[in-house]
Amino acid sequence: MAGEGPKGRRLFENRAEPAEGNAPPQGSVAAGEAEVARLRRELDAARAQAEMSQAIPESATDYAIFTVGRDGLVTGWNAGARSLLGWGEAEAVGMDSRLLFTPEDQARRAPEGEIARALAHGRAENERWHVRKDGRRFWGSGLLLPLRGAKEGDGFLKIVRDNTVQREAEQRQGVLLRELAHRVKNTLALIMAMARQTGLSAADLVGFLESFEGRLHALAAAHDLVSEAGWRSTRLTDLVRAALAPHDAPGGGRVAVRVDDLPVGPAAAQSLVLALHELATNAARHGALSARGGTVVLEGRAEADELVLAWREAGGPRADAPREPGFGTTLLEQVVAYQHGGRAAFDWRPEGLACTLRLSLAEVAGAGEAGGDA
Amino acid sequence: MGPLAGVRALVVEDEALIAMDLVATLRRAGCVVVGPARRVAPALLLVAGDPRPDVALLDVNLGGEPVVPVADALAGRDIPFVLITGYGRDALPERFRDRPLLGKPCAAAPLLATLERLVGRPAAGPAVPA
Repeated sequence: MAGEGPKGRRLFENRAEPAEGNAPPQGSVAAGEAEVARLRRELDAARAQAEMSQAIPESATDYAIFTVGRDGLVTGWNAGARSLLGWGEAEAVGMDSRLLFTPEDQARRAPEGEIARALAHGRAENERWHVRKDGRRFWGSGLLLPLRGAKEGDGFLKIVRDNTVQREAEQRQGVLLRELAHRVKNTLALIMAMARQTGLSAADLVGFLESFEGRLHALAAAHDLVSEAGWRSTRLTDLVRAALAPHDAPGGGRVAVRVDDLPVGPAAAQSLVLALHELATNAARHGALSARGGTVVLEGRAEADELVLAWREAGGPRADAPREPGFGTTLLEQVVAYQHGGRAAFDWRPEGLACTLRLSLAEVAGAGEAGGDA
Repeated sequence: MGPLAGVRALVVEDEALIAMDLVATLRRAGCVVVGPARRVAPALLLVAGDPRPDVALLDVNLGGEPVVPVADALAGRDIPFVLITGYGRDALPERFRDRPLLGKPCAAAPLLATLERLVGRPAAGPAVPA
């Protein structure tokens, strides 16, 4: 058992005193020796218990456990208090416990309020920034309890643990939840815009539903990619695969993809998937993928500060420039120009459509939010 | 001619598809669209431009960039504006809290009705020509 604290008071005192009524009885020497042995065993047991009781606060090193007098001065200090708060037992005992509060909390008399609550309700919960010896702050969660038993009226027991990491995680979670709510609204706004624009260019309801569903699926695929990546960068290869998967039967091999594995930011991912979806849909309806044996090659690479995506169709019906640009083409051009600071070039060749997208690499990799903002 | 015919409406919105849709909605209502702009800097040029916009639609958050400087510039030129946001009114700076605000997603009819009110030309009838 460790020696007594410097100010002569241990945090948890356990006196091994024989209980009353155990006074040695009168009798023979042998009986007296037996009594001494019994008392010695009792004393050893009491000592062991005392050591155990002391071991509890001393081993609870994640918790600062200390006592303060009614005057607010520290009277006892465990190993956890030493490691969490920084003061050794010798410096801490006799110190004003208000020093553990931030100056702001001291100014609004938080320490006094906590004591008043502990006295009124038998306990005061405590969630606040605390100050260490070196001035650094940590978020402490704890309790202030009036001392009971032999120490009743002498002051308080305080238990504090460092919850900084947990608190920061909770705050991050709060931010994420607000962000999520905002992203949902953006996605709804995007879907509404998509529905209206699709509706304006659709010949009939069946045509509308077909186009709208395809675009919604593309949006959902982009959303999956971006959320799997934790709303950070996705890879161009994954993105292309997600966009084109619905248009090429597994093992079909009609769409050959040769793209560099470049990072794509969340905002760009969504619009790139939509753009590729428009090209693939167009190919499936009117182009190479509408004819048996027709093929598409998609190549993508970084050239200087641009991402160049080359879409080449072959083996389909002869490609003719549409008399009026359809919504798919318009969407593609607008998205590429507006969102990616780029341009889309369409070349309607006899063997099939050749479309080249040139996008700003900075915009493509950008950390901007998906689904528009605010 | 609708009540918004010839009104110069500035569009500030960073999402291409939504911007396209806003532009189409405004054009159908007879507006002359200024922009769209997807970032603060080009939007500020359009606010300061000549002829000046009569009214503006502002997406509150442009790819993480707050639209606040654009709103301040519009207020400075006495150009009315409507804010469009996925966040609540509380997320706005104090000075914009009493400005008209539309939540996302925002339907065409309330948007056009708000613009009509802002340019002081209320529609004669309840219906807004689409």
